[in-house]
Amino acid sequence: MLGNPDPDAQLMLLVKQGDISAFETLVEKYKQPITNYVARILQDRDEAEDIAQNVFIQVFKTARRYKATAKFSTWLFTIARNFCLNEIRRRSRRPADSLETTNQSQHTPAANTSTSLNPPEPSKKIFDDELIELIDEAIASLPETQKTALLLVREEELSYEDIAKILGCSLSATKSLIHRARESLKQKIKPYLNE
Amino acid sequence: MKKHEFNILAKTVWKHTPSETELNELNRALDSVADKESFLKEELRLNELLGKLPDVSVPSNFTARVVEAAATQPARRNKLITALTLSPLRRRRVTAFAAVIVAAIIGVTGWKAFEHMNRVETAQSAAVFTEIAIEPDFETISNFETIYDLSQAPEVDNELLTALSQTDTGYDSY
Repeated sequence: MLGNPDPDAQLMLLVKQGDISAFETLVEKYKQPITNYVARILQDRDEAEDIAQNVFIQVFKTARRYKATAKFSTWLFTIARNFCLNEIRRRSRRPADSLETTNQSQHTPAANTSTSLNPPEPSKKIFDDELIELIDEAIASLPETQKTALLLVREEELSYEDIAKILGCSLSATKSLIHRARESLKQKIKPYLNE
Repeated sequence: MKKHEFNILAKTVWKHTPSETELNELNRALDSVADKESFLKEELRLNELLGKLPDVSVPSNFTARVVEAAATQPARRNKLITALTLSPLRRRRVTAFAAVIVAAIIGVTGWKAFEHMNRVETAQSAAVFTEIAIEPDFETISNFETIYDLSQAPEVDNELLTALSQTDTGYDSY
């Protein structure tokens, strides 16, 4: 099949021919990383599920346009990022909506903890869970490009080149974004890092 | 931070937990970092915490819902295809109708072209005639008065002509 070694691309070629079970396999494999990505970019876990669902439906709808030369995961995350950017744009045009969703997202575990409201004193012993919540909040405060670069670098499927393609920037710019994001996170949690 | 240090960090730490060999390589490579030990400790700790970020809960029926929603997409497309698919009889009728339309278009276009060509030819002839009529040469204009005078000759006197014919013999005798 055009010599593409990417197994997901092979599945996508089957989807292109209308194979629903191949599509199901892809959804099953990527539902978690896509939902995680969308939730952390939008800081809205409720909306993340709907958007992730729309991402996969879009994949199915545009399957006929998929070219086997492209890596499936890169294509999928590009679609997911575009959905997130559209949602961010939509919210910026309708501030009332974003206020509403912010209130809704306060149901998320990260927002309900004491750390999000009153960050603990550095001198106090801080548990990993709280530190992770702090990291989650620190990620939320990053610019979208840094956030995307930082989150995608953790995806095994994606190389730096793939992330650069998704972000639409150069390889060195991508590495620079990751470095800046990590430095920013380290600054925010520095008092707790060496405990 | 130097470029090679930056690249080795990207290669060894950012994407995964580094192995012992990679850590040694990193230790040797980080020349410009003042407190190398603390820096590495922070990098690894951050890695560890990022690795522990919890997954966002995905409902168990997520895949089923997506597949169901996607399955309605080809159904819609099939409906459209079905709507466009014709029975052989209807296909023949549609083909005949299309042929008539095409022939009519060709006929009308041909007739229009023929008419246009005729008009052009007429216009061209008229143009030549007009050119001749409008631009008489100088000689014609200079003799215009003479020509005009000639055309203004007095009417034929029939009575005189009759009288002259009767006296023809007389003249001949002279």
